Amino acid sequence: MNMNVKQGGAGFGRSESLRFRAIARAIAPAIFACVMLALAGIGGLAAQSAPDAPIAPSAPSAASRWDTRLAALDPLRPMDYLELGEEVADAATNDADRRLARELFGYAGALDSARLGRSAMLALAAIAETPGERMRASSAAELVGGRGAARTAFSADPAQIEALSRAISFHRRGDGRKALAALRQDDADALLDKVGEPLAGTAKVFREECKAMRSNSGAVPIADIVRRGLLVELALRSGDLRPPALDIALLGDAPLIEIDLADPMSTWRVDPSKPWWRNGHWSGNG
Amino acid sequence: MSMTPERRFLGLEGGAPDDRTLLALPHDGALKSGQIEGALERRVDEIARHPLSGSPEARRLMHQLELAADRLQAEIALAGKGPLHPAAARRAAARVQRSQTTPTKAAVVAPAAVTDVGTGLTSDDLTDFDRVALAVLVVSGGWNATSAKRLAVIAEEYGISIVDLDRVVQGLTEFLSKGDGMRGVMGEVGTHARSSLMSAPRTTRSDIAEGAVERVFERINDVLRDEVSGDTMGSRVRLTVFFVLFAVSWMLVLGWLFFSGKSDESGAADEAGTVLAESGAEPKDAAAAKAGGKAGSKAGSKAGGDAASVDANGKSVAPIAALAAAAKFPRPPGFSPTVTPAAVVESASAGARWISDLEQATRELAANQGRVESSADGGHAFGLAAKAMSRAADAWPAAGAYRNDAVRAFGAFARAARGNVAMIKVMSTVPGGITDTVVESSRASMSAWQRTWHAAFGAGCVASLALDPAQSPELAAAAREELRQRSVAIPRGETTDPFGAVAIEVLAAAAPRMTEQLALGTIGLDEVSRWNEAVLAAGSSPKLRVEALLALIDASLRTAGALDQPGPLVDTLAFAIRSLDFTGRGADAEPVRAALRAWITDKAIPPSRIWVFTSLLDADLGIAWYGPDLVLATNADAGARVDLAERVDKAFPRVTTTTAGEAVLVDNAQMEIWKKNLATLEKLAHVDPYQRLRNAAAALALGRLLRAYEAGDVKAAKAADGAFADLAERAEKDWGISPTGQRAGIVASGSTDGEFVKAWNATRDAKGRLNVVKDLRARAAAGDLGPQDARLVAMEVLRGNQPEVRAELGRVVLDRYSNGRELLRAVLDGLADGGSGEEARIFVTSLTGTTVAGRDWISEARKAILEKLYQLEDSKEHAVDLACADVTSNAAALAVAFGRADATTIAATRPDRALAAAADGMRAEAAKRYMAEPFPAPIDEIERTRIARRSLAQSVTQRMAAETAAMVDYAAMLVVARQPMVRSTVAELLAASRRARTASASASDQAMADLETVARIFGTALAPKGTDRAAMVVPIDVANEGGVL
Repeated sequence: MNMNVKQGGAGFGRSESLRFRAIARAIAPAIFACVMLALAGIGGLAAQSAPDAPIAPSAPSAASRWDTRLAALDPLRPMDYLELGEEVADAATNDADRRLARELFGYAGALDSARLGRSAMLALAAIAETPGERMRASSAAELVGGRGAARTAFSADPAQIEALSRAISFHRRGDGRKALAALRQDDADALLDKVGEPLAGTAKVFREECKAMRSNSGAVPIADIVRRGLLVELALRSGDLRPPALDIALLGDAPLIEIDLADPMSTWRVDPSKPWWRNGHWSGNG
Repeated sequence: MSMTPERRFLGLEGGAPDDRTLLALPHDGALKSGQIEGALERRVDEIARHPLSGSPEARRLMHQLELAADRLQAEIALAGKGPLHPAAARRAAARVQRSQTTPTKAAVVAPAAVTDVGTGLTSDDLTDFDRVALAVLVVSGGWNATSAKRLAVIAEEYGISIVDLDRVVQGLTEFLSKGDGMRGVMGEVGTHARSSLMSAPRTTRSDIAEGAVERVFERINDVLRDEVSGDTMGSRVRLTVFFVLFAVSWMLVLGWLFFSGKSDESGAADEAGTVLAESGAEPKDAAAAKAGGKAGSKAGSKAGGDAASVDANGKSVAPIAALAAAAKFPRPPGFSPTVTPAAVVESASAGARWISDLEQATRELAANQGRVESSADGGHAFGLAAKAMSRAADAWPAAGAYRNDAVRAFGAFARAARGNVAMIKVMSTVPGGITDTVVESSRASMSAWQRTWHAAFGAGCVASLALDPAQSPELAAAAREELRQRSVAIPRGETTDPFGAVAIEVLAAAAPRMTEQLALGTIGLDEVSRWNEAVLAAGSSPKLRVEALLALIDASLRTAGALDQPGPLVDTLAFAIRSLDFTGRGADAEPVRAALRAWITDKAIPPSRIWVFTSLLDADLGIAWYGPDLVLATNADAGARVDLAERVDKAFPRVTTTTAGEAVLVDNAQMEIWKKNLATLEKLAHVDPYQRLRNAAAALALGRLLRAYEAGDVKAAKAADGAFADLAERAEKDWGISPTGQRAGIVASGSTDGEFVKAWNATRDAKGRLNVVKDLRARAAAGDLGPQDARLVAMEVLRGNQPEVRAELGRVVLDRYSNGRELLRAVLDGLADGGSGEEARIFVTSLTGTTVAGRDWISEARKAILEKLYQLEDSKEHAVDLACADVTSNAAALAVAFGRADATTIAATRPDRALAAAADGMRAEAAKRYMAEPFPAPIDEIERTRIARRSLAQSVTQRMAAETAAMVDYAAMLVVARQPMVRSTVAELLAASRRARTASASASDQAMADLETVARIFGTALAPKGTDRAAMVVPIDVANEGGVL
């Protein structure tokens, strides 16, 4: 077999070689075009799958409606960026418009963080695409220029706690039907939504487990679930004076949202050194 | 022939002149209080110009004149004609006080006593203070600001607090309101008041002796005058003999003085000493030495005593005679400023709107060529600007950078104005002036602090215009005129911050009014908090803040109001003391030192107030150099006050610095300990939350160590080092141990789960089941049951239908299985079914050791069982709690080291609160530092972000991380303020810390990283002692050993 191949290979004549080259020359542009298209597709996918990456430049179609206004922007007047951003956000009908609005808000905040930072962040929160983004932007607004107005505290009704406690007990005993019935009392479902993560990963998991249990099917054997239930119930019953460990068990140890104003690219997702709109793109010279 | 004093000094002939003649007042017609005082002053001047003005006779005459004036004043007061002259009121009050040997507490006229018209109180029921108060109330037109101020002054002299004064006035007001009750006794009141107010002082023995000597000399004078004017031979002979005898007697006296031996003198001294010894009297020097608490030598010879009491420069070094124990208060005076009102915060958050409105107004004005006369647009521009400025004045202290922007925007607006009318309109838009129409309309609804904010903001804006070289000369002149109208001095010399300088001046001027109202109780400490907020916002440099705080202390000391009792006035004084820097560092030390000296020696401030003031200085742990030996007594005289002032001045630290700044100098051993500990800290594991919290506590211990090095406190350094070692070396297994030491029971070996259920179900009758229960009790070394058995036992104990079996089973559980985890969980789950009765409640009470009762006993029972389960198990939760306790104790100790003496009580249990106290202490320390350019940010910006982070935090670790971020900034500020050369190093540490915070996966990690950064930043302040680096000697004054970072 190998011999044959070698023979075959050695049997290539000059005319065949020329024909092969002619074919290669003919299809090379097509191959190049395919490769470029593939690269563009991969790039687009990457941009969509990386929400934290800096926002890509706005598409010309989105900007064309606002080109005149965008071209008149001047970094010496950051307020204009904010005002135009509000107009664009109000009139936005597609992602490109919303992206342009985000860029404008970003420039307003980056160019004058002290005065417009908070407004810009609140505006970004208003047009955020995901709850996570919205939360980050509202928290960042507080850090940029807030004065403690965004006070949020965990609270629960005693009746809610009682009902959820019964549900946890029934769940621990393997009595899913009773657990679900207890959850329906005194709005315990709402409390379960709040504490579902420390209790069972998510509230949905807890409910599904309850549904899967047949009446009196036996105690829940997993020690970790038992332990979590005990800790969460004690933490809820201890109120605001709960020990630190119970506080962590209930509310977790998630980091406090932080922004680094010294790094505007990560904070505002725009490059403040390119504040001019020229030829459909943000550029660095006016 | 003798001459009366009235004739000699005033030229009045005849017998005893009446009061009006004595004062040269018209005999008829009504008099005014000021007219009487003027006449008295003229008469006193006449006497003062006489050659014998210093004689006792002249003094007596002046006293008579005062009495005459007071009698006339009393007539006016009782007739209710016109206000009483302040000088007369003071004199009357002083006289009443002198007439009482022991001032008694003023009794309050009980309102109930005057209910019966006409048969109520008589003048005998009124105390002297009541009468004085009554007179002041009548002449001042009732209870108003004038009478309140006067009465407050008089009340203080009587030792009456403001609260008691309020009751006195209330009683008197009711007394006055009973018209018939007053009728018929008013004259009596007047008589009593006059007799007590105007009674001549009693003649003392010294007065009698003085009069006798005077009469002898007068007699000699008369005889000599008669002989001289006699012009006969006999007279000449008698005069010659008299003068010869007089001359001879003088020669004899002089000869005795010149030629008497020294032995006589020493003998006289010995004799005097013997007399002293025999009489048992203690020499004054010895008493003074005892008062000073020093082991001084007994006053032996006079010369020796003098040598010991002065130094080589002749300055007194003897113990001050008038020292006293420090004033004690039931609680430490002072307060924490309240948070900014939500309305102000909300208003401040709209700061961008002020600027945009001002910019809009500028555009409109510019479009109208800066004139207002001929266009409605110009008027609209001014209206817009006035409203924007008014809104800014409402909230500028909380507005941060918006304030500067608003001032700049207003400057641009003013620059656009053209013409005199426009200039005047510009000035009228500035809040706080006399033409402030926006405020005038709402003045009634504004609180005092809002008016102060308006006035300070307005004056600051006008000053910015007056000193802005970019403004036209016409506008600058108009601004200066506006400042003059507001009675605000125009800043002189080089002023980098005209707004701050003038705003602080206005705030300082508002301090006396504020303290007066505090003393009267018409305002509270909220007002001081707002005042302080404005000072912090306007005081761009420590010098300005010091100026305001000195004014506050000065006003507190001079305001009539009790300082020696707990109250807002003494709280304010203590707050101001705590806010000031008494360490002698920075540019603000000199004014503080001068002010201290001035207050102590100022005769206008009674020594009793200086006693409280010096006691508060002594009590403030932040002023380490001020000791109990510098507390002035309440009876100190002027000399003692001057001595104390010199001592205080000498003790006030003087810091010498070099280009290296003020490093914390440590020896080699200390430096080694620091480096070793820092390296250990960086190597500690930080996988679990408890490990990260442990590391945070260790970093705090390092902070304590540096603070102890700085203070030169070896004991504190040892304690901090010990705390660090304990944290770093504690074995991992020791962290999770249950703090109660209890252990959970275990299932008996050899028994399987379900055995009890099987045996229980095998029999139904009570006897059989009792046997099964008996077997349960008999299980060897059993402390718990399997899940199935536990569930059945719990169900039967809570709701069993055989009472005797249920009771016996309960006893078995309590005796053998009370620490069984399975059993406790089963009881907990059994309670979920409800329907348990009284016996079940008692059973749970016994099981948990916690009484559960009431309608919601099941809820309490569940919590008690859960707590017991929590305590029984060794777990990572205990490790977290233990680490947090370590954070709490180390943070509280660090807060104490930064002058927060109350940190151990307010932050006893919560790690976030202890960290907040430490951050507060660092902030207070940082506020005293002088920095030309704030680093890493102004204090108010650091506080703003700190408050913002707090509002975002939900869990305890997030709240900790909110505080630690601020601690990093304050640590950087403290170190760079002392050593500017390490700024770049600290900036790098800060940048790394910010990145670490942003990238952290947990709040405990953020807190740990921050506190480690704090330790590293503190480490940059350390330097080897001069013996190792002679070229960088940084001598720190010995008196400043207890100094601060």
